[in-house]
Amino acid sequence: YPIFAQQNYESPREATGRIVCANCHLAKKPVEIEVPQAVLPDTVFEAVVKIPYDKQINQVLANGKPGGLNVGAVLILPEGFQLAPPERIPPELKEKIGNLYFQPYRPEKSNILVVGPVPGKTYSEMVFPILAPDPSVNKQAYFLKYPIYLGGNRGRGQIYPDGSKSNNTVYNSPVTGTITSITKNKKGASTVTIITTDNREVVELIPAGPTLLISEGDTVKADQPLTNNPNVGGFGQADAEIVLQDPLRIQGLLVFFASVVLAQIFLVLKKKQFEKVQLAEMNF
Amino acid sequence: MFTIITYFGLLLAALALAVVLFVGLSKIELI
Repeated sequence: YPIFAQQNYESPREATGRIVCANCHLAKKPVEIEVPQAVLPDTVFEAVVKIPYDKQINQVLANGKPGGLNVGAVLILPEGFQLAPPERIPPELKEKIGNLYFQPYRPEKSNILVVGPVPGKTYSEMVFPILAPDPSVNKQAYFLKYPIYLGGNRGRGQIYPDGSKSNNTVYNSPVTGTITSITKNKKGASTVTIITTDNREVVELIPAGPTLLISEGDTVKADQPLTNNPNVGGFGQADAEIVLQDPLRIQGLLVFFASVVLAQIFLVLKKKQFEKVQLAEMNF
Repeated sequence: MFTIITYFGLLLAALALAVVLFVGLSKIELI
């Protein structure tokens, strides 16, 4: 959950560039982000985040039963960029956003937006309304090219922030030995007892969710999987670049183009006139 | 949107100016 990241990490992006969601969502799946190439200051634009997955597939829920996948995303915008205020979002953009609720990662970090978990069937594609800063008002913003980082996830994580495994991952044998008993309780959790070669008894608890691959009497090696891997989701990162464009620069460029075209026209005219002079001065 | 209109507007204006100059100047036999 995003709340785990918010509680445990000051910034969602580590120095290595890894987004902290990857600490619990261990599987890797692709995500996509689409942003305009350039935006003008103080304008609202949309960032489209795609978290694709096969919507036919179910995942195991915390109680071990199958259920739909949820999606979530964290969007790390450059300093100064923020979520567009509702009154500035045009109606057609509002329609695209739907009922998504965007939350800043921290109250003082309005440039980092967090969404989710929300049902993946509806929000496999999310639209973030973003307001570009105005460098004439906000002195910390400059007309530059900025990176935007995205982390997007579908499905449950494999471990909790305290390091304990969720039931959405593979369980391995802690030791080499023989399985003496497997007992299942009412909730579907299994207790696997393994007796090692030096006659030590090791008990491994497997919660409801993963399917057992072993049976009583089997010999297992250390780290051999006792269960299948029920995980169908995964986390992915993507980045994009956006230019905060100064309208004056574009106007300047257009004026420059106009002056070049005019200069070319006048050079041709001058040449034509000179040809006329040459004709007049010609002596046969 | 505004930028692209301005761009093509300026381009068209420059071309129109070129045509006008060529026709006008050749009429008064300056070129």
